[in-house]
Amino acid sequence: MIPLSHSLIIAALLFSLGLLIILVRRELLFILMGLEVMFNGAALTAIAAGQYWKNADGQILTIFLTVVTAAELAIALILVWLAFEHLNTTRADKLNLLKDNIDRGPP
Amino acid sequence: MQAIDLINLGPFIILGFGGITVLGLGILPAHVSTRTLAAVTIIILILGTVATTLWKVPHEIDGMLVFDRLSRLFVQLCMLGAIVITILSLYYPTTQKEMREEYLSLILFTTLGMALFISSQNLVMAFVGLEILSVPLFALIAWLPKQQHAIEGGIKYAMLAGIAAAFFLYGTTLAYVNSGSLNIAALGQSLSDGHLPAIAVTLLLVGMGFKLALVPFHMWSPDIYQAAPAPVTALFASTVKAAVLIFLIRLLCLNLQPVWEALLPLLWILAVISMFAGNLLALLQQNIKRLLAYSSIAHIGYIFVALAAGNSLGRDAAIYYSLAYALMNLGAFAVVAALALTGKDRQTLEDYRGLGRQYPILGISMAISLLALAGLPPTAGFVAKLLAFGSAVEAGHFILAIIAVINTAIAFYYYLHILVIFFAEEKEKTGQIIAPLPKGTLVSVIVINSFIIGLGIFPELITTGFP
Repeated sequence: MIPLSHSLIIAALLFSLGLLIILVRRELLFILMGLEVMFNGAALTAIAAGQYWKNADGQILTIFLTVVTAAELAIALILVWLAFEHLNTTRADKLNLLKDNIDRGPP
Repeated sequence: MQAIDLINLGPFIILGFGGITVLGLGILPAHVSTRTLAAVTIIILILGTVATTLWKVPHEIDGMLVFDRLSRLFVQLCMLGAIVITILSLYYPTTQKEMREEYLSLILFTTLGMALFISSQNLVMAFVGLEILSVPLFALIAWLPKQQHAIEGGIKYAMLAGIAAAFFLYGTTLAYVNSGSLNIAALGQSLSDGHLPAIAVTLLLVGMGFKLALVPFHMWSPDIYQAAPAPVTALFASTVKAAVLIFLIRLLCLNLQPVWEALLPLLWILAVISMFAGNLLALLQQNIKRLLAYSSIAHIGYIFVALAAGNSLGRDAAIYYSLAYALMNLGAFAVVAALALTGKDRQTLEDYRGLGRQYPILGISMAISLLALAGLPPTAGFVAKLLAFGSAVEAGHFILAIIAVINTAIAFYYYLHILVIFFAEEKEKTGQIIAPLPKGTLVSVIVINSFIIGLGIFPELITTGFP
Protein backbone atom coordinates (compact mmCIF):
# COMPACT_ATOMS: atom_id res chain seq x y z
CA MET A 1 0.00 0.00 0.00
CA ILE A 2 1.51 3.32 -1.06
CA PRO A 3 1.05 5.96 1.65
CA LEU A 4 -1.17 8.92 0.82
CA SER A 5 1.60 11.48 1.21
CA HIS A 6 3.69 9.92 -1.60
CA SER A 7 0.87 10.20 -4.13
CA LEU A 8 0.04 13.71 -2.96
CA ILE A 9 3.64 14.85 -3.44
CA ILE A 10 3.78 13.39 -6.96
CA ALA A 11 0.45 15.03 -7.77
CA ALA A 12 1.63 18.39 -6.43
CA LEU A 13 4.78 18.07 -8.56
CA LEU A 14 2.68 17.32 -11.63
CA PHE A 15 0.47 20.32 -10.94
CA SER A 16 3.44 22.68 -10.52
CA LEU A 17 5.10 21.25 -13.61
CA GLY A 18 1.97 22.03 -15.63
CA LEU A 19 1.84 25.54 -14.22
CA LEU A 20 5.53 25.99 -15.09
CA ILE A 21 4.88 24.87 -18.67
CA ILE A 22 2.08 27.43 -18.96
CA LEU A 23 4.23 30.22 -17.57
CA VAL A 24 7.35 29.43 -19.62
CA ARG A 25 6.14 28.22 -23.01
CA ARG A 26 4.74 30.68 -25.56
CA GLU A 27 3.32 28.17 -28.01
CA LEU A 28 -0.46 27.84 -27.57
CA LEU A 29 -0.43 24.07 -28.07
CA PHE A 30 2.17 23.68 -25.33
CA ILE A 31 0.07 25.84 -23.03
CA LEU A 32 -2.86 23.48 -23.63
CA MET A 33 -0.54 20.54 -22.85
CA GLY A 34 0.49 22.27 -19.64
CA LEU A 35 -3.18 22.60 -18.73
CA GLU A 36 -3.64 18.90 -19.33
CA VAL A 37 -0.72 18.13 -17.00
CA MET A 38 -2.31 20.32 -14.31
CA PHE A 39 -5.61 18.48 -14.70
CA ASN A 40 -3.79 15.17 -14.35
CA GLY A 41 -2.17 16.36 -11.13
CA ALA A 42 -5.64 17.07 -9.76
CA ALA A 43 -6.94 13.72 -11.02
CA LEU A 44 -4.10 11.81 -9.32
CA THR A 45 -4.85 13.59 -6.04
CA ALA A 46 -8.52 12.65 -6.35
CA ILE A 47 -7.80 8.97 -7.00
CA ALA A 48 -5.25 8.72 -4.18
CA ALA A 49 -7.65 10.38 -1.75
CA GLY A 50 -10.49 8.11 -2.90
CA GLN A 51 -8.29 5.10 -2.11
CA TYR A 52 -7.41 6.55 1.29
CA TRP A 53 -11.00 7.36 2.33
CA LYS A 54 -12.32 4.14 0.78
CA ASN A 55 -15.19 5.79 -1.06
CA ALA A 56 -15.99 6.25 -4.72
CA ASP A 57 -16.26 10.05 -4.75
CA GLY A 58 -12.66 10.45 -5.90
CA GLN A 59 -13.14 8.17 -8.87
CA ILE A 60 -16.40 9.87 -9.82
CA LEU A 61 -14.64 13.21 -9.62
CA THR A 62 -11.90 11.91 -11.92
CA ILE A 63 -14.40 10.68 -14.51
CA PHE A 64 -16.21 14.03 -14.50
CA LEU A 65 -12.89 15.86 -14.68
CA THR A 66 -11.68 13.91 -17.70
CA VAL A 67 -14.91 14.34 -19.65
CA VAL A 68 -15.46 18.02 -18.88
CA THR A 69 -11.87 19.11 -19.46
CA ALA A 70 -11.75 17.15 -22.72
CA ALA A 71 -14.78 19.12 -23.89
CA GLU A 72 -13.16 22.36 -22.83
CA LEU A 73 -9.88 21.59 -24.57
CA ALA A 74 -11.71 20.64 -27.76
CA ILE A 75 -13.18 24.14 -27.99
CA ALA A 76 -9.83 25.68 -27.10
CA LEU A 77 -8.17 23.67 -29.90
CA ILE A 78 -10.74 24.94 -32.38
CA LEU A 79 -9.87 28.47 -31.33
CA VAL A 80 -6.14 27.78 -31.78
CA TRP A 81 -6.89 26.41 -35.25
CA LEU A 82 -8.92 29.55 -36.03
CA ALA A 83 -5.98 31.66 -34.92
CA PHE A 84 -3.70 29.74 -37.27
CA GLU A 85 -6.22 30.14 -40.09
CA HIS A 86 -6.93 33.86 -39.67
CA LEU A 87 -3.92 35.30 -37.87
CA ASN A 88 -1.26 32.87 -39.07
CA THR A 89 0.20 32.31 -35.65
CA THR A 90 -0.04 29.86 -32.78
CA ARG A 91 2.17 31.81 -30.40
CA ALA A 92 0.70 33.54 -27.36
CA ASP A 93 3.08 36.50 -27.58
CA LYS A 94 1.96 37.26 -31.15
CA LEU A 95 -1.58 37.72 -29.89
CA ASN A 96 -0.96 41.26 -28.72
CA LEU A 97 -3.23 43.38 -30.87
CA LEU A 98 -5.49 44.33 -27.99
CA LYS A 99 -3.92 47.00 -25.84
CA ASP A 100 -4.69 49.92 -23.60
CA ASN A 101 -5.61 53.14 -25.33
CA ILE A 102 -4.59 56.12 -23.24
CA ASP A 103 -3.97 58.45 -26.13
CA ARG A 104 -6.33 61.39 -25.82
CA GLY A 105 -5.92 62.43 -29.42
CA PRO A 106 -6.16 66.01 -30.66
CA PRO A 107 -8.24 68.17 -28.31
CA MET B 1 -36.40 11.02 -6.27
CA GLN B 2 -39.57 12.60 -4.99
CA ALA B 3 -42.03 14.91 -6.67
CA ILE B 4 -40.71 17.89 -4.72
CA ASP B 5 -37.21 17.25 -6.07
CA LEU B 6 -38.58 17.28 -9.58
CA ILE B 7 -40.41 20.57 -9.01
CA ASN B 8 -37.25 22.13 -7.65
CA LEU B 9 -35.22 20.86 -10.60
CA GLY B 10 -37.78 22.43 -12.95
CA PRO B 11 -35.77 25.51 -14.02
CA PHE B 12 -32.69 23.41 -14.81
CA ILE B 13 -34.73 20.92 -16.84
CA ILE B 14 -36.48 23.74 -18.71
CA LEU B 15 -33.18 25.43 -19.55
CA GLY B 16 -31.45 22.22 -20.64
CA PHE B 17 -34.29 20.97 -22.80
CA GLY B 18 -34.95 24.50 -24.00
CA GLY B 19 -31.40 24.78 -25.30
CA ILE B 20 -31.79 21.51 -27.18
CA THR B 21 -35.20 22.62 -28.52
CA VAL B 22 -33.77 25.85 -29.90
CA LEU B 23 -30.97 23.85 -31.54
CA GLY B 24 -33.57 21.47 -32.94
CA LEU B 25 -35.57 24.31 -34.51
CA GLY B 26 -32.58 24.93 -36.76
CA ILE B 27 -32.81 21.55 -38.49
CA LEU B 28 -36.47 21.87 -39.39
CA PRO B 29 -36.98 21.76 -43.15
CA ALA B 30 -38.84 25.07 -43.11
CA HIS B 31 -36.77 28.19 -42.46
CA VAL B 32 -37.34 29.63 -39.00
CA SER B 33 -36.66 33.35 -38.74
CA THR B 34 -34.21 34.72 -36.19
CA ARG B 35 -37.02 36.67 -34.51
CA THR B 36 -38.98 33.47 -33.91
CA LEU B 37 -35.92 31.75 -32.49
CA ALA B 38 -35.27 34.68 -30.17
CA ALA B 39 -38.93 34.67 -29.10
CA VAL B 40 -38.72 30.96 -28.26
CA THR B 41 -35.54 31.58 -26.26
CA ILE B 42 -37.17 34.38 -24.30
CA ILE B 43 -40.27 32.26 -23.62
CA ILE B 44 -38.04 29.44 -22.31
CA LEU B 45 -36.24 31.87 -20.01
CA ILE B 46 -39.54 33.30 -18.73
CA LEU B 47 -40.81 29.77 -18.09
CA GLY B 48 -37.62 29.06 -16.18
CA THR B 49 -38.14 32.17 -14.07
CA VAL B 50 -41.72 31.15 -13.33
CA ALA B 51 -40.50 27.68 -12.37
CA THR B 52 -38.16 29.15 -9.75
CA THR B 53 -41.13 30.70 -7.97
CA LEU B 54 -42.55 27.19 -7.47
CA TRP B 55 -39.48 26.15 -5.47
CA LYS B 56 -40.04 24.81 -1.99
CA VAL B 57 -37.39 26.58 0.04
CA PRO B 58 -35.25 25.63 1.85
CA HIS B 59 -34.68 22.28 0.22
CA GLU B 60 -31.68 20.18 -0.67
CA ILE B 61 -31.27 17.36 -3.17
CA ASP B 62 -28.86 14.62 -2.10
CA GLY B 63 -26.23 17.08 -0.96
CA MET B 64 -25.85 18.19 -4.57
CA LEU B 65 -28.05 21.22 -5.08
CA VAL B 66 -29.43 23.55 -2.47
CA PHE B 67 -32.51 25.67 -2.94
CA ASP B 68 -32.87 28.68 -0.69
CA ARG B 69 -33.82 32.33 -1.07
CA LEU B 70 -30.27 33.22 -2.08
CA SER B 71 -30.15 30.78 -4.97
CA ARG B 72 -33.69 31.68 -6.06
CA LEU B 73 -32.91 35.40 -6.19
CA PHE B 74 -29.73 34.95 -8.20
CA VAL B 75 -31.10 32.30 -10.55
CA GLN B 76 -33.87 34.78 -11.37
CA LEU B 77 -31.26 37.50 -11.89
CA CYS B 78 -29.36 35.29 -14.34
CA MET B 79 -32.55 34.55 -16.28
CA LEU B 80 -33.39 38.27 -16.45
CA GLY B 81 -29.84 38.93 -17.61
CA ALA B 82 -30.13 36.27 -20.32
CA ILE B 83 -33.43 37.76 -21.55
CA VAL B 84 -31.81 41.19 -21.81
CA ILE B 85 -28.79 39.71 -23.63
CA THR B 86 -31.06 37.94 -26.12
CA ILE B 87 -32.93 41.17 -26.88
CA LEU B 88 -29.69 43.14 -27.19
CA SER B 89 -28.12 40.56 -29.52
CA LEU B 90 -31.24 40.56 -31.67
CA TYR B 91 -30.83 44.27 -32.42
CA TYR B 92 -27.01 44.38 -32.26
CA PRO B 93 -26.02 45.17 -35.86
CA THR B 94 -22.93 42.95 -35.98
CA THR B 95 -24.41 39.71 -34.67
CA GLN B 96 -27.85 40.27 -36.20
CA LYS B 97 -27.06 38.38 -39.42
CA GLU B 98 -25.01 35.69 -37.71
CA MET B 99 -27.32 35.00 -34.79
CA ARG B 100 -28.88 31.63 -35.37
CA GLU B 101 -30.04 28.77 -33.19
CA GLU B 102 -26.50 27.91 -32.01
CA TYR B 103 -25.91 31.37 -30.57
CA LEU B 104 -29.22 31.37 -28.70
CA SER B 105 -28.82 27.83 -27.41
CA LEU B 106 -25.35 28.72 -26.12
CA ILE B 107 -26.91 31.60 -24.18
CA LEU B 108 -29.40 29.15 -22.67
CA PHE B 109 -26.66 26.67 -21.77
CA THR B 110 -24.48 29.28 -20.15
CA THR B 111 -27.50 30.38 -18.10
CA LEU B 112 -27.98 26.76 -17.05
CA GLY B 113 -24.33 26.70 -15.94
CA MET B 114 -24.84 29.83 -13.87
CA ALA B 115 -27.96 28.41 -12.23
CA LEU B 116 -26.15 25.17 -11.35
CA PHE B 117 -23.13 27.03 -10.02
CA ILE B 118 -25.26 29.33 -7.87
CA SER B 119 -27.22 26.52 -6.26
CA SER B 120 -24.50 23.88 -5.96
CA GLN B 121 -23.80 22.37 -2.58
CA ASN B 122 -21.18 19.96 -3.81
CA LEU B 123 -17.78 20.80 -5.26
CA VAL B 124 -18.13 18.45 -8.26
CA MET B 125 -21.51 19.99 -9.05
CA ALA B 126 -19.90 23.42 -8.78
CA PHE B 127 -17.11 22.40 -11.14
CA VAL B 128 -19.57 21.08 -13.72
CA GLY B 129 -21.61 24.27 -13.39
CA LEU B 130 -18.48 26.40 -13.79
CA GLU B 131 -17.54 24.59 -16.98
CA ILE B 132 -21.06 24.66 -18.47
CA LEU B 133 -20.99 28.39 -17.82
CA SER B 134 -17.56 29.13 -19.26
CA VAL B 135 -17.22 26.85 -22.30
CA PRO B 136 -20.15 28.47 -24.22
CA LEU B 137 -18.68 31.86 -23.39
CA PHE B 138 -15.46 31.40 -25.29
CA ALA B 139 -17.40 30.25 -28.29
CA LEU B 140 -19.59 33.35 -27.98
CA ILE B 141 -16.60 35.70 -27.66
CA ALA B 142 -15.04 34.39 -30.87
CA TRP B 143 -18.45 34.12 -32.55
CA LEU B 144 -17.46 36.28 -35.53
CA PRO B 145 -13.91 35.16 -36.36
CA LYS B 146 -13.66 37.70 -39.19
CA GLN B 147 -14.22 40.49 -36.69
CA GLN B 148 -11.02 42.23 -35.65
CA HIS B 149 -9.51 40.81 -32.43
CA ALA B 150 -12.33 38.27 -31.89
CA ILE B 151 -10.09 35.19 -32.05
CA GLU B 152 -7.47 36.75 -29.84
CA GLY B 153 -10.10 37.49 -27.20
CA GLY B 154 -11.56 34.01 -27.48
CA ILE B 155 -8.17 32.33 -27.04
CA LYS B 156 -7.28 34.51 -24.08
CA TYR B 157 -10.58 33.70 -22.40
CA ALA B 158 -10.14 29.99 -23.13
CA MET B 159 -6.66 29.94 -21.60
CA LEU B 160 -7.80 31.84 -18.53
CA ALA B 161 -10.83 29.59 -18.12
CA GLY B 162 -8.58 26.53 -18.42
CA ILE B 163 -6.16 27.76 -15.76
CA ALA B 164 -9.10 28.75 -13.55
CA ALA B 165 -10.60 25.27 -13.95
CA ALA B 166 -7.27 23.63 -13.10
CA PHE B 167 -6.89 25.63 -9.88
CA PHE B 168 -10.53 25.05 -8.95
CA LEU B 169 -10.12 21.30 -9.47
CA TYR B 170 -6.91 21.08 -7.48
CA GLY B 171 -8.60 22.96 -4.65
CA THR B 172 -11.56 20.57 -4.89
CA THR B 173 -9.35 17.50 -4.67
CA LEU B 174 -7.35 18.89 -1.74
CA ALA B 175 -10.59 19.61 0.11
CA TYR B 176 -11.55 16.00 -0.59
CA VAL B 177 -8.19 14.79 0.76
CA ASN B 178 -8.89 16.75 3.91
CA SER B 179 -12.34 15.48 4.75
CA GLY B 180 -13.24 12.57 2.47
CA SER B 181 -16.35 14.31 1.20
CA LEU B 182 -17.16 16.75 -1.56
CA ASN B 183 -20.24 18.20 0.08
CA ILE B 184 -19.37 21.70 1.26
CA ALA B 185 -21.57 21.44 4.36
CA ALA B 186 -19.74 18.23 5.34
CA LEU B 187 -16.42 19.97 4.65
CA GLY B 188 -17.34 22.64 7.15
CA GLN B 189 -18.13 20.08 9.86
CA SER B 190 -14.95 18.04 9.51
CA LEU B 191 -12.31 20.74 9.36
CA SER B 192 -9.01 19.40 10.65
CA ASP B 193 -6.47 21.59 12.36
CA GLY B 194 -3.69 21.67 9.77
CA HIS B 195 -3.24 24.10 6.93
CA LEU B 196 -4.87 21.85 4.35
CA PRO B 197 -8.40 23.38 4.44
CA ALA B 198 -7.00 26.90 4.09
CA ILE B 199 -4.75 25.84 1.17
CA ALA B 200 -7.66 24.10 -0.55
CA VAL B 201 -9.95 27.12 -0.19
CA THR B 202 -7.17 29.45 -1.36
CA LEU B 203 -6.79 27.37 -4.52
CA LEU B 204 -10.56 27.50 -5.07
CA LEU B 205 -10.36 31.26 -4.51
CA VAL B 206 -7.59 31.54 -7.14
CA GLY B 207 -9.74 29.57 -9.58
CA MET B 208 -12.66 31.90 -8.99
CA GLY B 209 -10.31 34.91 -8.96
CA PHE B 210 -9.49 34.28 -12.62
CA LYS B 211 -13.20 34.35 -13.40
CA LEU B 212 -13.77 37.50 -11.32
CA ALA B 213 -10.70 39.26 -12.79
CA LEU B 214 -9.36 39.85 -9.32
CA VAL B 215 -5.90 41.46 -9.22
CA PRO B 216 -3.33 39.72 -9.67
CA PHE B 217 -5.31 37.50 -12.06
CA HIS B 218 -6.71 40.35 -14.15
CA MET B 219 -4.07 40.59 -16.93
CA TRP B 220 -6.18 39.59 -19.88
CA SER B 221 -9.61 40.62 -18.70
CA PRO B 222 -9.69 44.09 -20.37
CA ASP B 223 -8.57 42.48 -23.64
CA ILE B 224 -11.45 40.05 -23.45
CA TYR B 225 -13.95 42.80 -22.65
CA GLN B 226 -12.74 44.75 -25.66
CA ALA B 227 -12.70 41.82 -28.08
CA ALA B 228 -16.13 40.35 -27.40
CA PRO B 229 -19.30 41.63 -29.10
CA ALA B 230 -20.95 44.10 -26.70
CA PRO B 231 -23.97 41.89 -25.74
CA VAL B 232 -21.60 39.03 -24.87
CA THR B 233 -19.45 41.41 -22.84
CA ALA B 234 -22.62 42.44 -21.02
CA LEU B 235 -23.26 38.76 -20.26
CA PHE B 236 -19.90 37.88 -18.74
CA ALA B 237 -19.36 41.24 -17.10
CA SER B 238 -22.57 41.04 -15.10
CA THR B 239 -24.44 37.86 -14.31
CA VAL B 240 -21.50 35.45 -14.71
CA LYS B 241 -19.51 37.38 -12.14
CA ALA B 242 -22.52 37.56 -9.81
CA ALA B 243 -22.88 33.77 -10.08
CA VAL B 244 -19.22 33.20 -9.20
CA LEU B 245 -19.45 35.65 -6.29
CA ILE B 246 -22.52 33.90 -4.90
CA PHE B 247 -20.78 30.53 -4.94
CA LEU B 248 -17.79 32.12 -3.22
CA ILE B 249 -20.09 33.58 -0.54
CA ARG B 250 -21.90 30.25 -0.14
CA LEU B 251 -18.60 28.41 0.25
CA LEU B 252 -16.76 30.82 2.53
CA CYS B 253 -19.42 32.62 4.51
CA LEU B 254 -22.22 30.09 4.84
CA ASN B 255 -20.32 26.83 5.18
CA LEU B 256 -16.66 27.31 6.07
CA GLN B 257 -16.62 30.13 8.64
CA PRO B 258 -13.35 28.99 10.34
CA VAL B 259 -11.52 29.03 7.01
CA TRP B 260 -13.10 32.40 6.22
CA GLU B 261 -11.67 33.82 9.44
CA ALA B 262 -8.26 32.32 8.68
CA LEU B 263 -8.24 33.93 5.22
CA LEU B 264 -9.29 37.43 6.31
CA PRO B 265 -5.78 38.97 5.90
CA LEU B 266 -5.57 37.57 2.36
CA LEU B 267 -8.98 39.02 1.48
CA TRP B 268 -7.87 42.35 2.96
CA ILE B 269 -4.81 42.49 0.70
CA LEU B 270 -6.73 41.36 -2.40
CA ALA B 271 -9.33 44.07 -1.75
CA VAL B 272 -6.72 46.83 -1.50
CA ILE B 273 -4.70 45.88 -4.59
CA SER B 274 -7.81 45.25 -6.69
CA MET B 275 -9.27 48.65 -5.83
CA PHE B 276 -6.07 50.57 -6.52
CA ALA B 277 -5.09 48.68 -9.66
CA GLY B 278 -8.58 48.90 -11.16
CA ASN B 279 -9.11 52.58 -10.47
CA LEU B 280 -5.64 53.78 -11.44
CA LEU B 281 -5.60 51.82 -14.69
CA ALA B 282 -9.06 53.13 -15.57
CA LEU B 283 -8.12 56.75 -14.93
CA LEU B 284 -6.54 57.59 -18.30
CA GLN B 285 -8.25 54.90 -20.35
CA GLN B 286 -9.89 56.14 -23.55
CA ASN B 287 -11.55 52.91 -24.67
CA ILE B 288 -14.95 52.63 -23.04
CA LYS B 289 -15.09 48.83 -22.84
CA ARG B 290 -11.62 48.64 -21.31
CA LEU B 291 -12.52 51.45 -18.93
CA LEU B 292 -15.57 49.54 -17.74
CA ALA B 293 -13.40 46.41 -17.42
CA TYR B 294 -10.97 48.20 -15.11
CA SER B 295 -13.84 49.73 -13.16
CA SER B 296 -15.32 46.27 -12.63
CA ILE B 297 -11.95 45.08 -11.27
CA ALA B 298 -12.20 47.91 -8.75
CA HIS B 299 -15.77 46.91 -7.88
CA ILE B 300 -14.64 43.35 -7.13
CA GLY B 301 -12.20 45.03 -4.76
CA TYR B 302 -15.10 46.80 -2.98
CA ILE B 303 -16.92 43.47 -2.65
CA PHE B 304 -13.81 41.99 -1.08
CA VAL B 305 -13.81 44.89 1.40
CA ALA B 306 -17.17 43.56 2.56
CA LEU B 307 -15.92 39.96 2.61
CA ALA B 308 -12.79 40.95 4.55
CA ALA B 309 -15.03 42.20 7.36
CA GLY B 310 -15.69 38.61 8.32
CA ASN B 311 -19.07 39.17 9.98
CA SER B 312 -22.67 38.56 8.93
CA LEU B 313 -23.00 42.24 8.02
CA GLY B 314 -20.17 41.83 5.51
CA ARG B 315 -21.79 38.74 4.07
CA ASP B 316 -25.13 40.50 3.49
CA ALA B 317 -23.31 43.51 2.05
CA ALA B 318 -21.43 41.24 -0.39
CA ILE B 319 -24.68 39.58 -1.47
CA TYR B 320 -26.35 42.95 -2.04
CA TYR B 321 -23.26 44.29 -3.82
CA SER B 322 -23.15 41.28 -6.17
CA LEU B 323 -26.74 41.96 -7.23
CA ALA B 324 -26.17 45.69 -7.65
CA TYR B 325 -22.90 45.05 -9.50
CA ALA B 326 -24.58 42.75 -12.02
CA LEU B 327 -27.39 45.24 -12.67
CA MET B 328 -25.12 48.28 -12.99
CA ASN B 329 -22.74 46.62 -15.44
CA LEU B 330 -25.62 45.16 -17.41
CA GLY B 331 -27.08 48.67 -17.70
CA ALA B 332 -23.83 50.26 -18.84
CA PHE B 333 -22.99 47.56 -21.39
CA ALA B 334 -26.57 47.48 -22.67
CA VAL B 335 -26.17 51.13 -23.68
CA VAL B 336 -22.81 50.37 -25.33
CA ALA B 337 -24.48 47.53 -27.26
CA ALA B 338 -27.47 49.67 -28.22
CA LEU B 339 -25.24 52.41 -29.66
CA ALA B 340 -23.01 50.08 -31.68
CA LEU B 341 -22.38 50.84 -35.34
CA THR B 342 -22.70 48.28 -38.12
CA GLY B 343 -19.61 46.10 -38.13
CA LYS B 344 -18.04 47.36 -34.92
CA ASP B 345 -18.66 48.86 -31.52
CA ARG B 346 -17.98 52.49 -30.81
CA GLN B 347 -14.65 52.06 -29.06
CA THR B 348 -13.11 55.32 -27.91
CA LEU B 349 -14.84 57.79 -25.66
CA GLU B 350 -14.75 60.41 -28.43
CA ASP B 351 -17.04 58.20 -30.53
CA TYR B 352 -19.73 58.83 -27.93
CA ARG B 353 -19.54 62.61 -28.05
CA GLY B 354 -23.00 64.12 -27.98
CA LEU B 355 -24.87 60.83 -28.15
CA GLY B 356 -26.61 61.51 -24.85
CA ARG B 357 -28.38 64.45 -26.48
CA GLN B 358 -29.30 62.53 -29.61
CA TYR B 359 -30.76 59.59 -27.74
CA PRO B 360 -32.19 61.02 -24.51
CA ILE B 361 -33.47 57.71 -23.10
CA LEU B 362 -30.14 55.95 -23.59
CA GLY B 363 -28.32 59.02 -22.30
CA ILE B 364 -30.33 59.08 -19.07
CA SER B 365 -29.92 55.31 -18.67
CA MET B 366 -26.16 55.59 -19.11
CA ALA B 367 -26.14 58.42 -16.57
CA ILE B 368 -28.07 56.31 -14.05
CA SER B 369 -25.83 53.27 -14.54
CA LEU B 370 -22.60 55.26 -14.32
CA LEU B 371 -23.72 57.29 -11.30
CA ALA B 372 -24.72 54.01 -9.66
CA LEU B 373 -21.25 52.62 -10.41
CA ALA B 374 -19.77 55.78 -8.95
CA GLY B 375 -21.99 55.39 -5.91
CA LEU B 376 -24.44 58.29 -5.83
CA PRO B 377 -27.79 58.04 -4.02
CA PRO B 378 -30.59 57.04 -4.60
CA THR B 379 -29.16 54.19 -6.68
CA ALA B 380 -28.31 50.64 -5.68
CA GLY B 381 -24.60 51.43 -6.07
CA PHE B 382 -24.76 53.90 -3.18
CA VAL B 383 -26.48 51.48 -0.79
CA ALA B 384 -24.08 48.71 -1.81
CA LYS B 385 -21.03 50.85 -1.03
CA LEU B 386 -22.61 52.07 2.21
CA LEU B 387 -23.25 48.52 3.40
CA ALA B 388 -19.81 47.27 2.32
CA PHE B 389 -17.83 50.08 3.93
CA GLY B 390 -20.13 50.04 6.96
CA SER B 391 -19.36 46.38 7.54
CA ALA B 392 -15.61 47.09 7.31
CA VAL B 393 -15.97 49.82 9.97
CA GLU B 394 -18.08 47.48 12.10
CA ALA B 395 -15.27 44.91 11.99
CA GLY B 396 -12.73 47.56 13.00
CA HIS B 397 -11.01 47.83 9.64
CA PHE B 398 -10.85 51.62 9.60
CA ILE B 399 -7.82 51.78 7.31
CA LEU B 400 -9.53 49.54 4.76
CA ALA B 401 -12.68 51.67 4.85
CA ILE B 402 -10.65 54.86 4.35
CA ILE B 403 -8.75 53.31 1.41
CA ALA B 404 -12.06 52.26 -0.12
CA VAL B 405 -13.53 55.76 0.23
CA ILE B 406 -10.41 57.30 -1.37
CA ASN B 407 -10.81 54.88 -4.26
CA THR B 408 -14.45 55.84 -4.67
CA ALA B 409 -13.35 59.43 -4.98
CA ILE B 410 -10.76 58.53 -7.66
CA ALA B 411 -13.43 56.60 -9.55
CA PHE B 412 -15.73 59.63 -9.71
CA TYR B 413 -13.29 61.29 -12.09
CA TYR B 414 -13.52 58.76 -14.88
CA TYR B 415 -17.25 58.06 -14.56
CA LEU B 416 -18.03 61.76 -14.76
CA HIS B 417 -15.56 62.12 -17.65
CA ILE B 418 -17.64 59.64 -19.66
CA LEU B 419 -20.83 61.52 -18.84
CA VAL B 420 -19.33 64.89 -19.76
CA ILE B 421 -18.40 63.53 -23.19
CA PHE B 422 -21.76 61.82 -23.50
CA PHE B 423 -23.71 65.04 -23.01
CA ALA B 424 -21.28 67.40 -24.70
CA GLU B 425 -22.22 69.44 -27.79
CA GLU B 426 -21.36 67.73 -31.02
CA LYS B 427 -18.28 69.07 -32.76
CA GLU B 428 -20.04 69.82 -36.03
CA LYS B 429 -23.59 69.17 -37.03
CA THR B 430 -23.39 66.20 -39.34
CA GLY B 431 -27.03 66.59 -40.26
CA GLN B 432 -27.50 62.84 -40.55
CA ILE B 433 -30.88 61.42 -39.75
CA ILE B 434 -30.97 59.76 -36.35
CA ALA B 435 -32.13 56.19 -36.73
CA PRO B 436 -34.88 55.34 -34.23
CA LEU B 437 -33.84 52.76 -31.67
CA PRO B 438 -35.62 49.41 -31.52
CA LYS B 439 -38.30 49.26 -28.82
CA GLY B 440 -37.02 46.00 -27.33
CA THR B 441 -33.65 47.54 -26.48
CA LEU B 442 -35.26 50.61 -24.94
CA VAL B 443 -37.62 48.53 -22.80
CA SER B 444 -34.81 46.32 -21.49
CA VAL B 445 -32.60 49.32 -20.71
CA ILE B 446 -35.46 51.04 -18.87
CA VAL B 447 -36.26 47.87 -16.88
CA ILE B 448 -32.63 47.47 -15.75
CA ASN B 449 -32.42 51.08 -14.67
CA SER B 450 -35.69 50.98 -12.78
CA PHE B 451 -34.27 47.97 -10.90
CA ILE B 452 -31.12 49.95 -10.10
CA ILE B 453 -33.13 52.82 -8.65
CA GLY B 454 -35.78 50.61 -7.04
CA LEU B 455 -33.19 48.54 -5.17
CA GLY B 456 -31.49 51.76 -4.10
CA ILE B 457 -34.71 53.04 -2.54
CA PHE B 458 -35.87 49.74 -1.02
CA PRO B 459 -32.65 47.87 -0.13
CA GLU B 460 -34.40 45.90 2.63
CA LEU B 461 -36.07 43.77 -0.07
CA ILE B 462 -32.68 42.12 -0.61
CA THR B 463 -30.77 42.54 2.61
CA THR B 464 -33.19 40.80 4.96
CA GLY B 465 -33.86 37.16 5.51
CA PHE B 466 -30.71 35.36 4.48
CA PRO B 467 -29.54 32.52 6.72
